[in-house]
Amino acid sequence: MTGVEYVAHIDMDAFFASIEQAANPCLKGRPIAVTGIGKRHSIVTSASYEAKKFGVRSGMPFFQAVKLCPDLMAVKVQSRKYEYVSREIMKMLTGVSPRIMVASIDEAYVDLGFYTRLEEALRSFIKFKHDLKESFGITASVGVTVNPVLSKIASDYSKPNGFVVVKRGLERAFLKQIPPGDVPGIGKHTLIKLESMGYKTVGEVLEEFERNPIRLYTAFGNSFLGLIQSLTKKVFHGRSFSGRNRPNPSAIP
Amino acid sequence: MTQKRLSKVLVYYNEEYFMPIRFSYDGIKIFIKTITSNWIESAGRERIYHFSVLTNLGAYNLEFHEALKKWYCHPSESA
Repeated sequence: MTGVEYVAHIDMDAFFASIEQAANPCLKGRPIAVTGIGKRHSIVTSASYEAKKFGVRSGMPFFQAVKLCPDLMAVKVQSRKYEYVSREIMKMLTGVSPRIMVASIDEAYVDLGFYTRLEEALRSFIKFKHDLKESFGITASVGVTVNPVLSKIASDYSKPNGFVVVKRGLERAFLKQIPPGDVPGIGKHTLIKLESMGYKTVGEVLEEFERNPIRLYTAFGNSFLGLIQSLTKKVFHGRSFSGRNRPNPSAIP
Repeated sequence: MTQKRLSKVLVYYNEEYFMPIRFSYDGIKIFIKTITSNWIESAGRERIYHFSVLTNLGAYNLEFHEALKKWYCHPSESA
């Protein structure tokens, strides 16, 4: 019997900030930024959702973040702690499926070929999300689709604590709501060009691709067409999911 | 910045795990209401067990250094 041909993307919500809020309940519901305290030009490594409402983003200098959110609280970064929690979460994730690929300290892809029915896999993810909240006090967003790029878009779609499933055949309907800027691989310059050509959603770009691929090819080149095409195809073959990988050390602050 | 201080800690221990119940800080005995998170830091063979705890006097971090057999304590801080 063959398994379901779906892949899931799991992304922890404001990972470092959520761990700190779970460890210290006094920080819950408050705008916090995980950063290197005591350094004049500290960078925000992770911001809580309360801080994100004010426009605070990861990678922003702390002094700039404070201008946006005067009540922002700085919490010292503890990379070893985040590494430990990440390892434990990835171990927990192998309970959903033994075939996982760790993409960074706070995200992973899961091959659901282990399951014969999609509903079983989804039930396992509901349990995983519950266990994650119980054990670590944090939430994650999950996207389940037929290919990894689409799964990543789906997990970002309803953050925080989202769970988006795009069933086979419904990829185009889903992409009709997605702005091109949400597609990993579409950068600032491509986005400006797409907007100037009047494309507001990925669905519109896909329609244009079917009507007049030459127009897109001349404007953006081959790799862009490959990326757009890959969004609706099952390009995932599961070979890279041979076991649990370690997080990329460069992703750890 | 608050200093990490040596602390005396009353611990519940069984063969599978241990957890702090009470500790002293600045000479005050403080009871733990909840352990909000715990994690283990490994440096070679050495292990440091970290506990974030909530008490009536606020949130604290406790560390047990396995090699030194000593507990350290400091209040959770934010700036």
